[in-house]
Amino acid sequence: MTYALAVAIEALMGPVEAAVLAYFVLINVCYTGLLVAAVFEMRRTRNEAIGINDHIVVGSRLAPTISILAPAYNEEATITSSVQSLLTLDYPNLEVVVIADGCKDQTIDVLKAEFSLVEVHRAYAPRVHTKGVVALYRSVRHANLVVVDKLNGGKADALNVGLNLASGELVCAIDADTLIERGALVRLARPMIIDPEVVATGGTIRPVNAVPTKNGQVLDVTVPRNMLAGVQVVEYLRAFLLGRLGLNRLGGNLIISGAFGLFRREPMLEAGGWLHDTVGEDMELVVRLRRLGYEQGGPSKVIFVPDPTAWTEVPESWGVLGRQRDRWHRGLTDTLWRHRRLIGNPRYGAMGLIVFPYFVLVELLAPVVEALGLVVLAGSLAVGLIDRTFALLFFALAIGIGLILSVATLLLDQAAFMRFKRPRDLAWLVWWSVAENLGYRQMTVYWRLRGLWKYMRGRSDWGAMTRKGFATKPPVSTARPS
Amino acid sequence: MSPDALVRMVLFSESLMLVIGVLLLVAHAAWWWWYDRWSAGRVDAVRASLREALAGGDRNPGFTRDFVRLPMRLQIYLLGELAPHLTGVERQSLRRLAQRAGLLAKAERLCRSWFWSRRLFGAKICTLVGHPAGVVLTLLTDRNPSVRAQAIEWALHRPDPAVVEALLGMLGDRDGRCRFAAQDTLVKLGHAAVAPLIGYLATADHDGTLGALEVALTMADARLLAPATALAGAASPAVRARAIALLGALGSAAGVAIVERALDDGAAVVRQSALRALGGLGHWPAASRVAKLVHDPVWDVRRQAALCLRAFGAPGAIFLRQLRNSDDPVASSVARYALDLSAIGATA
Repeated sequence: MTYALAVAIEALMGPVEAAVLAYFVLINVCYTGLLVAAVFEMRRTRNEAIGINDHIVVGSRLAPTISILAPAYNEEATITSSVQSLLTLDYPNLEVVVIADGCKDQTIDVLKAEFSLVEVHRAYAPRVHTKGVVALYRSVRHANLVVVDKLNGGKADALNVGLNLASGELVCAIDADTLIERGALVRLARPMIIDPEVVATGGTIRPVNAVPTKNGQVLDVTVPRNMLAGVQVVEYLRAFLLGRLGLNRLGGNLIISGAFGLFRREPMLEAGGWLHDTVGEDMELVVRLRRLGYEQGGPSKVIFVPDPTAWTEVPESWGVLGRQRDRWHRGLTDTLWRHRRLIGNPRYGAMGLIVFPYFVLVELLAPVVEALGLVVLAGSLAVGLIDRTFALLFFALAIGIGLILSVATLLLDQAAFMRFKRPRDLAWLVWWSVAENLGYRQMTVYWRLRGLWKYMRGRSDWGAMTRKGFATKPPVSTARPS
Repeated sequence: MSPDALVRMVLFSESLMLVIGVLLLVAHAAWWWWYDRWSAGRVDAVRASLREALAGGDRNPGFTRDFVRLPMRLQIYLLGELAPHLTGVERQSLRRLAQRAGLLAKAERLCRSWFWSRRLFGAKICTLVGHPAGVVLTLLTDRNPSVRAQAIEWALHRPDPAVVEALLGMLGDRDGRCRFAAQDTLVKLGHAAVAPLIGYLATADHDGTLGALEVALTMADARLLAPATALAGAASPAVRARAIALLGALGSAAGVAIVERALDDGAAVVRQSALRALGGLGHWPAASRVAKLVHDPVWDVRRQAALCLRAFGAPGAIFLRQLRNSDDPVASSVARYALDLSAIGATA
């Protein structure tokens, strides 16, 4: 009986093992391709930055107006420093629209007091349907600051209200707790100025945990000593400088981070703004904009620009991080499912033939295959299909490839921007690159699988996110009820 | 080869790559650490002697010696830091210092290089010190857009008719950064660009006309009245809208009459432009006509009409107060909004 079972497992393991191995090779070929593409793309964007100097844009009366949309939900701890930093960004024609999404705390009162807000009658064209606006405020001190108080409807709804109210040709969607570097907007707008075919651009997001800030600006770049935050520094770098930068060259991006993205306003309004019924509204919007661009002949390019940087707080607890990753994977699954007819469709050019299949095969299915691989490895070891030494060697090989990619990304970042100036910070980064393989990576597989499972069961909640805030104020809960 | 041996071989290669990667990271950090310390002292010294040289009539032999020892990137960095803040005699001193340090000859050589990145650096140096070298002229038609954009920025230092003509031709450049840089430089050239701009507006294609009108609008020179009047009757609504905006910026009696007529234009974008222009002029005699547009079918026109009435001051406020009680809820809403803005003195 035991022998028969072993034979049956062996017969089953053979093809599964081969499939997992083939996937392993495919995924690493994709990553290597992205790395090579990212190196070329970094060179191109650096050269482009020399060609049109930031000071020309900053000093020009011809620069397009940018409206920054900052949705806020119970952000009383951070809202003042965030808005102050937005108002002092280096950009000539700037409007800041803060959307308080049914805040239950003192966010609106804090804003009223800090920025001398006065209520004005709310008159705007509701081109995108949203929940009701309670009040509209303008600042007596800052002519370019608009604050909206609205009924709670979630981040997408808040952004849509901002989209309706914005007057800029370009809109920049951020999270209210995101810190944007002073010169970042100019660099983010550069591809829009250069090419009218570009519908959206996104910048790099870096974790702000352990980074000292003052008046909404980063003073010094350091690496967190907390494991979760430290590992995420490496993870974010890899996701942005390797994944998104590489995709620029291989058919364009499908994701612009909700924490820092610039869009052309008119195509956004025509597309209907952000969707309410998805947890991956930032990715869904980008895919829809690109899709409409292809279908209706409008702008359809989405560019990731590596040098403009926004800083955001990342979770430092396993529970919060797990909920975030689970939500991200549900968002990814939902977007890919909604736009499934793009997969392999030549009508959508490189997006349909390269980028969409990449997202399905590598981003969506990776946790499934990785979990399957672990099960197969354990099963094969149990029935003696492979010996322990071989299994360990193979495991080390898989980790090694991840490490090489991480170190290569660090090199790319350092060579281009030299953000981490202290040797001990570099040492910490290398250590976090190693440490992420020891439990963290396996947990992300579990969270993403959980997200996939929840998606299949129809769950669409956001999950709670706890933030400390940049100021020395007590932590506040920023759970999004819808 | 057995699977075990294959995995071992791959693992060995991986380890090697990893070691090389970490070594490169360490080497880069060490190099940067050294370079930062090496350059910081020198840059500070050169910066101080550069300031001294500029203040003391550019006679400071120490400056030339220190400056030429710096790598080119640092030389450009130093010039870029100082040059935008210098004008007149100081700027001429800076050019003489750069010439004495051999930088101008080097820049001209770089402009002739086969590599585009060197041509870019050459053009950048000429731009920073305001060196009107003829060789940069040829870069206005360079095949690389970054180089062309840099040459366009340089053109500010050589406002002769041929250069202005070349810049106008670039308003329709296939590369956006060149179009933007050309518009920006033409705006900064101001007076010298007006006459060629008038000639260009008479012959340009649609995209070129739009770009040129953008420039004209920022210049707002009275000589642009004739082309603006002619283009106010163009077939393209986008061109008409910009021409109306230009007429509003110029503000003559004849121009204002055309702007007023544009309130009845079939294209919403033109009506909106006319309203913005009348608001900017504060032309309150048009208040009753503007008030009618608060009931326009297009929301953006209604809002602009209310803001235009607000800009008229007291005469506009009378209409806005009437409209506040209008049966048309949108008209009432935008009127209230405009009145609220007047109360806090905000711009919209």
